[in-house]
Amino acid sequence: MKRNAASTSLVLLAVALVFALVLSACGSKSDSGGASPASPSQSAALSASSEGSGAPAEKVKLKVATWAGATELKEFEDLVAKLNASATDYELEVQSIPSDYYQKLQTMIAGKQAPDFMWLSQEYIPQYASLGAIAELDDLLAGVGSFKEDDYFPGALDVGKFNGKLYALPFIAQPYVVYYNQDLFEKAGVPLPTNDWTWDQFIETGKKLTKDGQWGALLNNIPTAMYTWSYGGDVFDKDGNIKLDSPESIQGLEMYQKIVQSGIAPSRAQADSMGNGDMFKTGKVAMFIGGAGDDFEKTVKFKVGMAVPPKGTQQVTFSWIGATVMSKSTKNPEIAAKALVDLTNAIHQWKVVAPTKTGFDLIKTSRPEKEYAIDTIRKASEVARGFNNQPKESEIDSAIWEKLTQPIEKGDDVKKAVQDTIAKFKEITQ
Amino acid sequence: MKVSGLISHGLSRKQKRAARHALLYALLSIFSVSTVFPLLWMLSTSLKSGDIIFEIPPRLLPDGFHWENYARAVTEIDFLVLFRNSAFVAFLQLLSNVFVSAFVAYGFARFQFPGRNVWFLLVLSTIMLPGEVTMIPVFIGFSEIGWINSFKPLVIPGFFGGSPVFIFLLRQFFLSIPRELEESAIVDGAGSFRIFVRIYLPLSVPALMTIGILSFQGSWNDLLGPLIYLNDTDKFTLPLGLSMFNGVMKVEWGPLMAGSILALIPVLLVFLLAQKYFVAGFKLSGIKG
Repeated sequence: MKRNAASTSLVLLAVALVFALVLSACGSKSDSGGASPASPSQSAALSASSEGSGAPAEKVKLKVATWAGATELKEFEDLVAKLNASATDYELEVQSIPSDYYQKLQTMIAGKQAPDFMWLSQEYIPQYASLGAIAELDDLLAGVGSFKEDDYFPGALDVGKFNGKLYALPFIAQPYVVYYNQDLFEKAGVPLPTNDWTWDQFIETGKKLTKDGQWGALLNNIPTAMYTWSYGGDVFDKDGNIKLDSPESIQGLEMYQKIVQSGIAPSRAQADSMGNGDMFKTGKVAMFIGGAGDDFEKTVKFKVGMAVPPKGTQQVTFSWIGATVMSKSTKNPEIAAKALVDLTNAIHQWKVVAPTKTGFDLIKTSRPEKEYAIDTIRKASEVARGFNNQPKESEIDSAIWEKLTQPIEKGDDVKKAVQDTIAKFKEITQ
Repeated sequence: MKVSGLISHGLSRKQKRAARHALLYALLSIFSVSTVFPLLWMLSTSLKSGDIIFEIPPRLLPDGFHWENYARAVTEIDFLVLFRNSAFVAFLQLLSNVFVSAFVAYGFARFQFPGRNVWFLLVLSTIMLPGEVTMIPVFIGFSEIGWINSFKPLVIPGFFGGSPVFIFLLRQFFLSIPRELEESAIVDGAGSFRIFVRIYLPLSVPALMTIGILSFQGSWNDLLGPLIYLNDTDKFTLPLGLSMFNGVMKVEWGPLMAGSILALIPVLLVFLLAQKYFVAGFKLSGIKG
């Protein structure tokens, strides 16, 4: 019995030691992190606000959540380090979320651990705003001298607005442009696209470049809404009213069906399986629609040209817009607003294409291979816009895909597809 | 005629067997190729230069050996730090999954206590709950006690009850161990804990090894847990680090595949080392007439 008790206590001791190891290892790691409820940022914020205009003893700590990974993350961290070096009242800290970005953000917000700033893709802004997760910026930015609203391209700043209030500062706005394979054009003797061509000319051009194993154009990147914009229509207007059944919208969608049926583009499934951009890179398609910042100039062996996307009754293009929002739970909104403007202005000097007119001119130095197309990119940026995003944008997007885009591509009646889509919208927004 | 008939009959039987074997081998080859091919493709991609990864038609062999993918995989992310963090979490999860689960399973298998089956069902029911449902409440709980951005939520809960799936497996295994062994140990004066340590654990080595492998593989590859609870890059685990190459705008296939190959090595090693226990399976049951 004695031996029994001794060995039992030995095992218990071992278990206790393992526990101690776990606790100490975790403890030492977590002490360095600033995420515990009584983090320094809180006390810093309190002291800063209580001292008012006087120089705060401690800098306000602000976290920035980003989806940037690997090289992009390193560049972003360098940029933030430079800002921190010159800032007197705040200190930014990058928080990398390399996967399942929005899931992690939503969990953090629910757990009251929201980062002070978050990168959001344009579709998410109304949702986060309507749920009260992010702060209204209008009043806060009024007090920040370095914020120049007029400098932004209006289409880019619009996606940051919800119910007329500004919630997000765009840091990148990549207008979609048409890249073309100039070698294929010259070989076929087809005139090069101009910056004010129409969808009908686009189809004509595409037909001349379509032959065995080669297609005129690849359209998969174009959001269906963009065709409605081309003719003055839209899916929703700025106030959130459905505009999809307006004659203009239907005209645009019919043009889309016409393009699909003209056979100048590979089917969506075919293009997806072969890799969208890769079909252009390997010379299988002559024209490709993608973001103005894509790196084709550096990665293909043929001569690349660029044109503004074709127009219907008006010239417009889609813009891929990323923006930074501020958490409603940030402790010191005034200083955070200043940090947000500094941060956004710094990103404009780094990311191509910047959503501002001054940032735009930097393309020549940061991306010299794009210089040949600078006028095209500028023209595209001026007419570029995002969606009129809705709070339930992700459901809306899948309704558009299922009830609108697919039936139109299949050749179904456009008006019927529009009615079905609107019925689905009403189900979603009820 | 008779003889030749016999011969032809014999031959055809032989042929039948040959045909059967051929069919078997063909099937086995198809299965093994379909299993090995993705791995080879990964290896090949990890050595390709960026331009040809998506070349059409695809090329199986790389265009030379582009070791720079491996260099990028270990320099663009802090591979060693990630590796260390992954090893730390996986080791502690393995400890808790194997030993604490066994401890709990022993209780369910060999002790009579009020409501035993109800408790056991309760444990099992936690398997049925999808992780997505519990994620946010559990996160809020850990957030309240200040455990976010540390390894604590990942490793400590396991030490308070192990993992339900493994408890279930081990309980079934323990039930198959003859009671006579336990009874003779009691006669020799052993207590319950001693019986557990001296009889149940040694007899269950193959089962424990299997669970060890499953647990290690699971925690080594786990993305969501570390993603939700860890904020600082220097606390990230390997799957988090590797997903940095899988960007929103661009996927860096070369370094991603190179890093995945490197991350695969420990799992392969663990599996190879423990494999014989996997196979050793059920040669136990040491009862004589």
